[in-house]
Amino acid sequence: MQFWNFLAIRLVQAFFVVFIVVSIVFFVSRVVGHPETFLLPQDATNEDIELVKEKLGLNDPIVVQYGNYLWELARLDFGQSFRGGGTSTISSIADRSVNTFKLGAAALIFAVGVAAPLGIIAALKRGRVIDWVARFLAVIGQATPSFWLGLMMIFFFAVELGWFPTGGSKGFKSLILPAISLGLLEMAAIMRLTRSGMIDVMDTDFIRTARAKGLSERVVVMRHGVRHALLPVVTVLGIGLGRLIAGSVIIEVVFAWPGIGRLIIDSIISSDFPMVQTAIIVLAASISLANVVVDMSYRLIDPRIRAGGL
Amino acid sequence: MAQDVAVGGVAPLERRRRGIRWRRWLALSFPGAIALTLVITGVFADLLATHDPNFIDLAARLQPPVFDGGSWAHPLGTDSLGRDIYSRLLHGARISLIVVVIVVPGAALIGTLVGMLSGWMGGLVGQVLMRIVDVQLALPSILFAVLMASVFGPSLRNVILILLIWTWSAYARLVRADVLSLKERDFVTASRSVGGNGWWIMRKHLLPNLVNTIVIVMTLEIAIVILAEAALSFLGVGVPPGTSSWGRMITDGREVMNRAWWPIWLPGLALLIVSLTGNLMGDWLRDELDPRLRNLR
Repeated sequence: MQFWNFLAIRLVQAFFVVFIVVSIVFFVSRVVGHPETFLLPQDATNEDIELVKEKLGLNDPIVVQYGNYLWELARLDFGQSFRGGGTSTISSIADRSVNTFKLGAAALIFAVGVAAPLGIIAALKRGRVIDWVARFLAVIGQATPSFWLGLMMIFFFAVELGWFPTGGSKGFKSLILPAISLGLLEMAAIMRLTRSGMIDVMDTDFIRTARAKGLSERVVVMRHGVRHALLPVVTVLGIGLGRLIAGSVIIEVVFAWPGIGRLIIDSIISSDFPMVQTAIIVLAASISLANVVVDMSYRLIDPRIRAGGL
Repeated sequence: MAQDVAVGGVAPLERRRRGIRWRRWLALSFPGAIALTLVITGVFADLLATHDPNFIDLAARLQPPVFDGGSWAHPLGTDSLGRDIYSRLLHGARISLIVVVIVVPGAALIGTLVGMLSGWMGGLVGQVLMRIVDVQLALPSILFAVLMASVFGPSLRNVILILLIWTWSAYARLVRADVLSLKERDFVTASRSVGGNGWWIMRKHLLPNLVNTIVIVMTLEIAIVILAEAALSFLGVGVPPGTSSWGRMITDGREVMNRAWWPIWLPGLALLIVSLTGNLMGDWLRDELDPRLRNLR
């Protein structure tokens, strides 16, 4: 029961967060920006401007516009794009979101797939060569600007060596370079976390007990150590997801990857405000939901939190 | 209060620490020297630069650095418009420095205030403040930055504003967590029992206990802020065109990446070294002041 209560509270909080994001995006783009000026040629007459403003409802009091906007959102009407003959914004975003999701998932798989084993091994072989390599990788990974790394990798692996395409999203090969550039920072963070968590765990009494009762080192490490060391990783995944999505914007630009991030940048350049608004709302909603899922799964994984209640 | 702060097992730890103290300081010397260099180059960019960073000399386009066959006229070569890369790097360091000097303390101030208030007051105010933090986490700052830049146009002022919005919540979350546990401690109860009001307790009893955390996060945030400014400028929504920022230099270098390595390598390396320095200093401080924050990033 407590689980469901907590889920309900978190969902309400997430809804509230998305609502605030919607409001911020609305006011920044409507009140401060002037969407009508982008729709008209430079030499448009005042009458033309008035006509367009009237049509878009921009002459209504701002509160009315805000109300209308919220009402449209409530009916899941996200409006039409200014470009491309007024296609529905939400369907363009749905098309693109698959690519962003693919990129994010690949980056996450790369990050966890490299960081978790390396972090665990580094902790077990503390002070040895593999530990130094892992720590060096973590320090470099955290300091490297992702977009610069992406450009460098394009130069070496795509232009010079020709192993991968320089950009676009054709096939599995085109996914590798962007996923590494995007995942590197997360990899470094997760590796540090796994390593320090593992070091702490291997010092605890229950590991000594496990060894004392004659379990093989393999079982001690895998069954008792790793499970504990990976627990905090789940919590950083929540923040990590947000960072991945934000980071994907710049990586998508570098690799000409047709995802939501690039769509937003393109739309902003061409002042396609409905598209920008919808895309930001969709991203904010996904991040909030992902955080709820991470919170909940953490409670499912760790019995101590479940027992402790809220 | 002294008893409260001192945790068990301090004495042997002190002794062990003092024995290898010089090695600890040695570990700081390398990042410290680089940080000092960055500050000096940023402050004295005008004096140290050999050229006007924005002086275009098309006759001297893409000159290689002196160690790659170039001449001393342009020690680190020139970019695709013939601008002197050495001078541009120096002025780029100044931009990074300005951003760091304003954003890091500013974000720390806002984050600490929000974190302390929401932790101390709890209840509705605390809830609302923490939801604002959630909003900040859910709204990818880079998108908000792009939106703002498209509305207001790119400028250094906007970059600073955006980075403030981008980074303050990191402090708020940690400070709040610390305050929540600190306020249950005996010295807070004691202060309250002798009539200390909320403001007094926050200032005199909570803040001194929070300083370590805040200073560590501030140091670690230096690299984040510098990289974020570069990312924004790289996307074209950071500092305006014509300003020499490392992020912009990378954008410019990208165009000629196939023909010349230095216009993109040098600013990238500068970024890498500086953010590495920030992280190393942050790690060092954390190990010295508060090892339990090890999992911070």
